[in-house]
Amino acid sequence: MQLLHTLVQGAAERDQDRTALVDRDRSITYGELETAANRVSALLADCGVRRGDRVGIHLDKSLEAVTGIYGIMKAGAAYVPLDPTSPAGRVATIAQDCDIQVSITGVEMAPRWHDIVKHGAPFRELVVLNGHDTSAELEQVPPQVAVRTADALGGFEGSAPIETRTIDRDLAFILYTSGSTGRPKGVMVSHQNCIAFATWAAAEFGLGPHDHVSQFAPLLFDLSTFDLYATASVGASVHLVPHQTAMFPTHTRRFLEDQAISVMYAVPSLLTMLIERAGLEQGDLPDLRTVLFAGEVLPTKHLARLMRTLPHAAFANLYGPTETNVCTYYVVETPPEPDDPPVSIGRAIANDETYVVTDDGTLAPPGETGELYVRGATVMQGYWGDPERTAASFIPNPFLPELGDPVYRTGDLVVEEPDGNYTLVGRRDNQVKRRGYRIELGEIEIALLAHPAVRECAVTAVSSEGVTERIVAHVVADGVDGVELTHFCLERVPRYMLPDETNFWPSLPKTATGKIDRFGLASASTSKDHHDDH
Amino acid sequence: MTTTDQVRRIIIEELRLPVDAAELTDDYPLLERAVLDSTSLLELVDSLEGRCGVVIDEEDLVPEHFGTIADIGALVASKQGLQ
Repeated sequence: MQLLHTLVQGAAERDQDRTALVDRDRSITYGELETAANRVSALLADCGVRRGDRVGIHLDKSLEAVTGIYGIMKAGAAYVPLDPTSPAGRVATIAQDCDIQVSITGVEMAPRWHDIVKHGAPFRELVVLNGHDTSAELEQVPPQVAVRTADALGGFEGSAPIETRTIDRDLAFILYTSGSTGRPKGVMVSHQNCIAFATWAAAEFGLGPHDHVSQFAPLLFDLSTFDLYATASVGASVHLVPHQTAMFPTHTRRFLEDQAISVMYAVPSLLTMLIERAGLEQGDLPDLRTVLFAGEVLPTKHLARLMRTLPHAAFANLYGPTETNVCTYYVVETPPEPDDPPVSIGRAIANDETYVVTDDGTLAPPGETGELYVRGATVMQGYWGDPERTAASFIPNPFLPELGDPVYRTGDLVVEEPDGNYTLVGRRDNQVKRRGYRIELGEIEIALLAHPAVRECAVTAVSSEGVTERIVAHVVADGVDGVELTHFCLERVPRYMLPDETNFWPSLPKTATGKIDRFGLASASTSKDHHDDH
Repeated sequence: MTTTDQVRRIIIEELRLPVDAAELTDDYPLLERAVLDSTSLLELVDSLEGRCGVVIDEEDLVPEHFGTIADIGALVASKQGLQ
């Protein structure tokens, strides 16, 4: 039996001096990571963390954050990434939802601690992994919350791994995604789910101990599980990309060059930025041998240019909602023509099985559109504390009911092509993808409707020529402007969910059945002939 | 209108930034306070190119030129001076 943290233990046993993690000018070896994670787990156990508990991870991506993650799992608990950039109220909602009593955090989060607790987070103890007992930031810990810092780790020097009896069906982490009812939902991922994906990915893309793997995605994003665990499974090194580096194309390029990155996994908007604005020329980035992308559609013209510029690299499109991690993939063998349709999402990975299901519940023949259902090793356990939503999405297998394992309904509409690969054609619902984040437009609508001046609203997504989809809010409201509504939303939803544009209407157009005419609104926003808020 | 004012206007009109227009002084730290992120940065570059008639090269796309509105204004002015 393997667990995510035993991947590190295994790598340390094989070669303890091999570099495990690089964070700017600091790095640690597998041996050091194993020792440090053992100490964190002993400290957490001393804080009262037990097998099955949920522990928050609320700090910027860093050596401490990754050590913290392994320490949490070694203590038998599941880690829950709490977005450093999300509003305090949303972080508190998540902490309440899965009852996070102990959270690992960093001094850079100090200005947020008070607000998060005020909004109802049930924190009992904070562990400031990059702080000291003398750090001035500790004054910002609310009085009812206990605090320990890295100084406390000294008391657990040389700690052996603690005995937790964790099995691979236990939860390793919970990732919260946007929920259409306005409350984020917690996707429960077991060690087994994640190992199934990580070991498949490592084998499929030929990862070895000499690879340098970049780490772009935030930890709350399932892309990060490839970077951390596929890499650990072979004892390769993970290179954390600083936030500001990823903002500037030439800095990203220099990072890839300087760190000799051989494998990168990123959202399409980052790859678009790299090909459009980093001044890449043919043959640049010679160490880069594999480029994986997922999260949204990579425009074909950018993929084509990228593949021609980096002919030495292999490219693959990975697909899957958080609930299945990656469930299908497509290796792009030759550069597409710039005006070809978007690249296929391919077919099921090893140990997952997919069905295309029509509206009447039968299997769709090739060429016909249907909803993609997934069963198998990477399909997750359901939503934390929400049996209703779990039952709606994880259903008994309609085709092989004898097997008893659930099938996940992705909500994505696909067509099976003659070659057996799938093409993604749309969504069943109001979910959109933006910079790889999945967003339920309903969550934004609920945030807007909470404003006392907003009488009616609808949020639509408009695909744009630019980097990503634009989110447009259509609002009926008096005495409030777009800027105020943006600020109001910012207290309720993460930055990436903010509407790009707010259009004010005297009343929203309706369909014959009296529903808001979303289709009409969406086309109105493309033509952009409405009075907006400026 | 100065270039800096023009940049401020573009930022307010084209980007949905989580900050009040009144707070957007010439030296407001856009990067330090994470007001600009990767998407809004690229949108801004597109808008500057479209509305100010300048071309921003990849080597100009660095934090030193995007730290504040004054920095961006100086970049645009230097590009306009070249034309």
